[in-house]
Amino acid sequence: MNPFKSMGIGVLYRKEFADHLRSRRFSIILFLIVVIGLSSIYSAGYGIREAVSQENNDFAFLRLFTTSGGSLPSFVSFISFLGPLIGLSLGFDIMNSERARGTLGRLLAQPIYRDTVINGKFLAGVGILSLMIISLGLGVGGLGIIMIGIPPTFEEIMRILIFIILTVIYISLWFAVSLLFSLLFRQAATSALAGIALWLFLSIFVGLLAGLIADGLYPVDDQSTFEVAFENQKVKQYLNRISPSKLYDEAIVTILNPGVRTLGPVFTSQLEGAIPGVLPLSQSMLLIWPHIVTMIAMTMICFAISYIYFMKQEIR
Amino acid sequence: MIKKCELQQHFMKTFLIKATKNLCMLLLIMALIFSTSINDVFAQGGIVLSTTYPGITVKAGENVELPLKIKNSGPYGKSVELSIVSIPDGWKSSFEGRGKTVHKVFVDGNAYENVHLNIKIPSKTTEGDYKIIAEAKGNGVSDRLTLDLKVREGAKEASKLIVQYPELQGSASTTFKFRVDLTNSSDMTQSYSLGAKVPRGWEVSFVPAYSSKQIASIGVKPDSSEGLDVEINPPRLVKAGEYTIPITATSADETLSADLKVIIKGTYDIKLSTPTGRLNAETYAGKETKVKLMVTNMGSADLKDVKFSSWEPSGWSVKFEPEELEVLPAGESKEIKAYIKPDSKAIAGDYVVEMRASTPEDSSSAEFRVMVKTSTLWGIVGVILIGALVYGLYWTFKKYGRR
Repeated sequence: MNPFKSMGIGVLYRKEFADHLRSRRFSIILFLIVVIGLSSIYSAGYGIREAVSQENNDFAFLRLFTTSGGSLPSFVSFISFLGPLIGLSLGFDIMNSERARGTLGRLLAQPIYRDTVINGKFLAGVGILSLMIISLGLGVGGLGIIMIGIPPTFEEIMRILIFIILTVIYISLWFAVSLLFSLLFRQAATSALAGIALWLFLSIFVGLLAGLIADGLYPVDDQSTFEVAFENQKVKQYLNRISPSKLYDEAIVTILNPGVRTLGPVFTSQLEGAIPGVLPLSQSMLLIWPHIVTMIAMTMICFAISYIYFMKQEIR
Repeated sequence: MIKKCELQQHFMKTFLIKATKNLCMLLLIMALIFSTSINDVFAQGGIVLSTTYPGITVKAGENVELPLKIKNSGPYGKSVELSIVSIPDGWKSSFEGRGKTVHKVFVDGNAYENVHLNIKIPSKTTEGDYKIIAEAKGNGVSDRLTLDLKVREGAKEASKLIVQYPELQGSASTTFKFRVDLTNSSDMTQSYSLGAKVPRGWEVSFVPAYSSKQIASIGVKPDSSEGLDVEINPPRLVKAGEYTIPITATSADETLSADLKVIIKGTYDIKLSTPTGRLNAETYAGKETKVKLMVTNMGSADLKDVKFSSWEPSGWSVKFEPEELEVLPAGESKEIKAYIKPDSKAIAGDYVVEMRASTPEDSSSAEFRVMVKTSTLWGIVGVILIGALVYGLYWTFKKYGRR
């Protein structure tokens, strides 16, 4: 028996997809990110026009995504901050609302397997946010070409493509988390709050906590040696990397800025003789490969837990 | 009376005898006197035409100036006419005294005058012995002087090409400047075409003094000289040593030549590069990579004891094989290998490594851009990890699915 070949999954996928598209929540989220995305690219484009004409225009197109123009933050920092919210808002009530309405039992009364329900719902959610992110990426890319008038090079296109895939993985992770929460908490509001709490904790408080722990282990003051400061920095970074937001930030900074050669602190001896230059895409990818693997792993583990939990749940 | 007469007769007799005697004496005296006076008359006509060297060797085409001495041994001054009695065909002569052409000389009594005899010998004169007879004539007296001239070919006065400093020393990049004086000794303006015979790759140019024009020929007036600068540029890759460069000035009549000697001192020029000219390498952190280097002796002297050294970031190591070359002949190049090993902690991206080939005389360095790559090992580990997770998910599906 092949567990992947489930009857009815296609039907369920299409139904869920259509539900998402028709929902008002989706329209609001889409409107929000399109407005934010386009405006950040637009303001960055104005700032970059002067920068490109003055400096070398290497990877000018990529800088469009990472440059913050005027009062608005850059496109990537918007996505990094609001991405989790998209994932959470799509999934926080995906199971418990069905249960609350009592439709879940009715659904399971249909001649479909139980795992088809959770697989279909998860895949539909991932599908809808992929659609959102890809169209947003293409939209801002197109606007960027109009804004700065420089077509992206092949490497830039590849880097943007990887950026989009990374974003889909990142938001899928948060979607998987919210799916888990929607199973764990019967109330949709509790699930939403739990999700937002986790998001705020991982986005903001992990950084503060990591700093506290690192300072406790390796106190840095005026007299402390370089080694201590280095260790402090290292511990802080490793603790920060518990948070997927941090992982995502590091990954997209590396992929969108080819000048980034390393993440984390380096000894000056390592920089001796180093020539400032750009890394080829393959090297950038190798640098963030652990981040990508970790994010995929987190998503899969979250989904696996949700799956086991859902399969073992008693549904009346 | 008779007695008186006799006495008178006797007197007369004795007187006659005496007179005769006296006359004889007188005559004797007169004769003596006259003889001296006749001698005087002869001496009065005495002119001696002489020269210190009546026999000389000359060259065809030469102008000979002979000092002549005209001596008047008489007590009175007299005017002496000078003339040439006999002279070979085509020869020209003239007497000169104090800058003027003369044909008469007044010589005081018991004095002498100096005149010069100028003889112009035609350049076509064949070798042989020639005679010139000069005559000094005055008041019926005269003297002849025979001059013996031997014309010898080897002694011909030639035009000259004189080099001031015929040997110059310098390096291969030096421009050698020889100062040459071209003297035309013939009796007409000559146009000399200039040329030099040089080995391949050498450049020679002729420049007139105080000018910068390069000329191929030069006109020189008779009995004058022109200064020339001969500039010689040896080829850049010339080997050290001595080079003789013959230069010639050829006119319609004559060919003048001189030898210039250039001594090239050895230059030391070493160059370090790679066979392809590419100065970059790729490697992984902590992993040794081989780089081929090309060391070339661009100089003109052999290089000895070529040593290789490097500057690399700390923690890196660079080894050379061979570590040094005993000798690198001029103009040759040799391939050596360098093994670069980055620090195991090196971060991804470009680093600079400088390699240097040095001899006591010269050194050359090449900057290498070494790109350190991240090992793909951890990438593979990541892929395995994802594979394990997928399997775990599959296992979960199988274990808990289809309820």
